[in-house]
Amino acid sequence: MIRFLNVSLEHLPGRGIKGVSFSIERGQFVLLAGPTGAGKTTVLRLIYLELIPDSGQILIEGQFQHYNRKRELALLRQKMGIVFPEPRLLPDRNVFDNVALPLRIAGWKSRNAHLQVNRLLFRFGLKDRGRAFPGELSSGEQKKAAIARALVARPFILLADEPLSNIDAEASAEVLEHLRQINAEGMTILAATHIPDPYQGLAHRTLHLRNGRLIE
Amino acid sequence: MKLWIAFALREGLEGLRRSIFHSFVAVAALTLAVSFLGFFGYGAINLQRAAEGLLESLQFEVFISPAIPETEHPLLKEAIREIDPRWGITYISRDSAAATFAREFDPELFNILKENPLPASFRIDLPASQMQPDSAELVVESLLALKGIDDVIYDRELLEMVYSGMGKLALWGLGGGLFAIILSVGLTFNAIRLKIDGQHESLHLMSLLSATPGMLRAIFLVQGTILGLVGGLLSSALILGVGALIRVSMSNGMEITVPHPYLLIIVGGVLGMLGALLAVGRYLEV
Repeated sequence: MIRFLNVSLEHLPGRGIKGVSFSIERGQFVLLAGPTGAGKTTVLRLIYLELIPDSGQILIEGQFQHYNRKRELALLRQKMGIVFPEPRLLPDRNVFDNVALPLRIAGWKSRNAHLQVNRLLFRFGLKDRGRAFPGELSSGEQKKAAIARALVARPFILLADEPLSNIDAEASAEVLEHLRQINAEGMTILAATHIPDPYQGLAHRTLHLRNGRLIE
Repeated sequence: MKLWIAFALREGLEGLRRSIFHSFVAVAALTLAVSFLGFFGYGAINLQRAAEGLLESLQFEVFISPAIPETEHPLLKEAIREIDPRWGITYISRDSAAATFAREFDPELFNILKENPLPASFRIDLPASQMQPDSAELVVESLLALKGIDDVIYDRELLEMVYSGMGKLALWGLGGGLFAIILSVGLTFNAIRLKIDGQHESLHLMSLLSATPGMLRAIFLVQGTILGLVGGLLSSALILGVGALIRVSMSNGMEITVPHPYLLIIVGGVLGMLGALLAVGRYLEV
């Protein structure tokens, strides 16, 4: 599904990845572990095409990427669900509109979008928080809303960067349970974390990164 | 494509709604700028019409020499017609001139004089294209060259005044119109620039959530166009109102017209879109 072939990128002096190769198969839950600055976020940003590798190839669903075709990149992003370390919910929109944003961009019909967003809000226990604005939510609720937004357009992969950051233990357990359920339903997940312990028993594989290099 | 437009329309409208105060200020400023353009445009149209009215009233009086017998006057008329067939030529006989004089000035004058001293004449109406000081002088020269024409008179001062007035009007209209256009585009440019600055994070996120650069650009083009259309709509209402007020307060019979006021809505929309296009090209990084 996703293959990195000797990918290198130095996007900031001394920051990036060097000669990284790995593959992720459909339905896997892969953990990308490593300390801060190891290159985890760089790998995710390369997958969701925000960064362009200096060398090497990235195959997504068997296709090499053409970074100059912006429309194709946009269409590919539609198939990926992204959870950022910070929830990055838009503060001037309520939870419903934040979760619905990928569907509006993808051009879903209003009625279908409404049903899909409500389904996700219900699933993440946010049904009654749809009209609330991000500032009115707890950190855990914000994180769940961000995951709901990532899943709303039915992506083929969920790319989660530090999905447990800045939330308490109770919310972490809830988020982990959601990730387990989503993966059990067949969703491929690549989660980056600097604390891999909570994911034990959940991830099928762990890729360890250190100083931009993959350590198996 | 349809869904793409729907996204841009929705986001554009919601963006304006979310920053309602900023949108209100932008519309108010645009209304003033487009109104300025409207006042210049419609002012110029009305002054142009007034000037044309004055020129239409301008006529050439061509006096026939008393030495030419009345029987030859039709031949003279034909000779004048041969100079330019577009001229309107009216023959005024000596009797007719005397009757007009007596009616307008002094009915008793000819009883005292015992004789009619007024010569026969032609009244000539020129087409608008010849109503210029230089052309008028050529007309006079060509008429005086005819045998039997004593004198040609016309209101040269009025013609020169109207002609130079129209030139100044065109210059002012061009300058004022350009200023208003630049003002409208500049105001929209600035309004959209502020919106782009304020939505930097949202735009980056939308891009990561698969919005194409075209979609993001379209949001601001929609906003600029809507600001312009609303500004144009309010301007046309303002112009119509002011036009009605002037009509009511004018007592000298001068007619004020505001043809096709809805044109200002279209002009506002186009200028708004142009301002947005410039701001997007300059500030939107996607």
